[in-house]
Amino acid sequence: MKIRKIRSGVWAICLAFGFMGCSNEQTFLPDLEGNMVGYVLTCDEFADPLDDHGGVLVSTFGAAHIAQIHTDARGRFEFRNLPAGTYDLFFEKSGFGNMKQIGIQHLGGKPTILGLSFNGSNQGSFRLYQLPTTQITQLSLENDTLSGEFDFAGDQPNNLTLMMFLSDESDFVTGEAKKIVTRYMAMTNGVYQGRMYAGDLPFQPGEIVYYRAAVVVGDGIFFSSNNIAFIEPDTYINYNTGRIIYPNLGNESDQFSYVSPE
Amino acid sequence: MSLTNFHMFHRNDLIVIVLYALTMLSVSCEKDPEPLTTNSVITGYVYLDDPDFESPTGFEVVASGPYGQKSASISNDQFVITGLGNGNYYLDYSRDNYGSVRQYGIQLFGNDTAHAEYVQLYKKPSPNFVMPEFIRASVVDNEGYESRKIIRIETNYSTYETYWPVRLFMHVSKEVSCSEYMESYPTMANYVNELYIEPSWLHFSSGTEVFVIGYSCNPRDNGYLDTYKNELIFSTLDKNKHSNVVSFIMP
Repeated sequence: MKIRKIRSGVWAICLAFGFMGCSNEQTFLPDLEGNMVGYVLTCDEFADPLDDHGGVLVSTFGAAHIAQIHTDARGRFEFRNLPAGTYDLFFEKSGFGNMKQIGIQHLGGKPTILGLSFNGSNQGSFRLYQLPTTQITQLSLENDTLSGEFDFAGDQPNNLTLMMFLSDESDFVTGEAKKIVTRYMAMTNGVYQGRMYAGDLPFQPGEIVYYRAAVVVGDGIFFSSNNIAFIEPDTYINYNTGRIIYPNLGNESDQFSYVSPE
Repeated sequence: MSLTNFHMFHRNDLIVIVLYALTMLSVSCEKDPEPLTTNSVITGYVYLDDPDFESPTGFEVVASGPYGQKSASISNDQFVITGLGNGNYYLDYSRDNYGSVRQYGIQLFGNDTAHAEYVQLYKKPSPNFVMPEFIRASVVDNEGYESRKIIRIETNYSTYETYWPVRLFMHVSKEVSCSEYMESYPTMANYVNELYIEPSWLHFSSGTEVFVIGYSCNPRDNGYLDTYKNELIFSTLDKNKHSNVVSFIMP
């Protein structure tokens, strides 16, 4: 009796399994899947690549699919069997500025490769920069020349980039600055200096201009003459607020001021 | 008969066979993905790095994608693959006596023509080439008009050709190989039996012992990037045909 029950059970499982196997025959296809492969380069606060690119948490957000994975020491990550669709990627690691890449089209089938090209270029690869530890102790603007003094935690670099926030109001909030510009500062005769032309700034002659600055890491954030930003891979846009996110900004300096020249 | 013994339990019973048959049946019911569109095209050019000026034909390009593989039709150095479904593809380029290349990341959305980045194929060294033995490596004064140091590798090879089919791989470890190296360069011959390396090409610290090994490889083959593995691939390199390891002190 017991044997008969067991046999009946096995038959029932077999039949159910057989029917289930054919039940997807009418499913609308394709819903392709495929792997998504990319590389993240981690760099120090002066944009020099580190030896170990591991430990970066990569999150991918699709319409119906969210996945997370860590990079290996070479910076490689691979999401397996990701359904075809458009994805956003978010990169984060403690002590580093984060990064976001939106609108990645993943078609499925063979792997989607991000950031590397056949000819060896890695221009589109993702980069995370260590957050700046450099402190700005003095900034002066005179005769179209910006001069700065800094405290460095490590070795003194040959050059660095500042993001300048300028306003005609004292104690302004940087988010409400009248003008934001980035300036490349190079060591010249023992002093860090960069060019900043008063004529390019929206201030009247004789007006007191207040400014603060922060060290920014990355290869460059460029602004056109009409203040339109060209987004480089070290920035991204927050589409909820419409603002550009600068994830690699250091601490803001104290406020300084100068009189806009006649 | 013990009921715990599966074979004994199903002795003279067709149920195992039926179970197997149904399992196979259910698997066979699964359909391969079908493309939304089937009219996409991949096209591109292949160049042969051919010192003998052979006809730029005879190569094969195969697209691998979600629905299988498809070969290209080829006219002179241009290839076209038509009737492809949507999805991601990679291309394999090959030709007799030439190194093969794989190119990832061809995206087909449908109703489109994707242009593949051009590919150059390099001729493999002659199978008759015998890898020379490296006798020693040393840093010597260059005997040319310009006074400088060069790194010389003496071999048992004898030829008047300037470019030998050898690529050098260097590392600070004596376990250096074509898969474990820090720097790699093609070689140039100084004399009939010597190779040389320009120290200015290298990035090793002065005083470091550098180990070097040579592999059979077309000296013009500078490699392509396998973007899936992020590895530089020398398509004409023969992993089984290599020299012994010698070392020098970086000047």
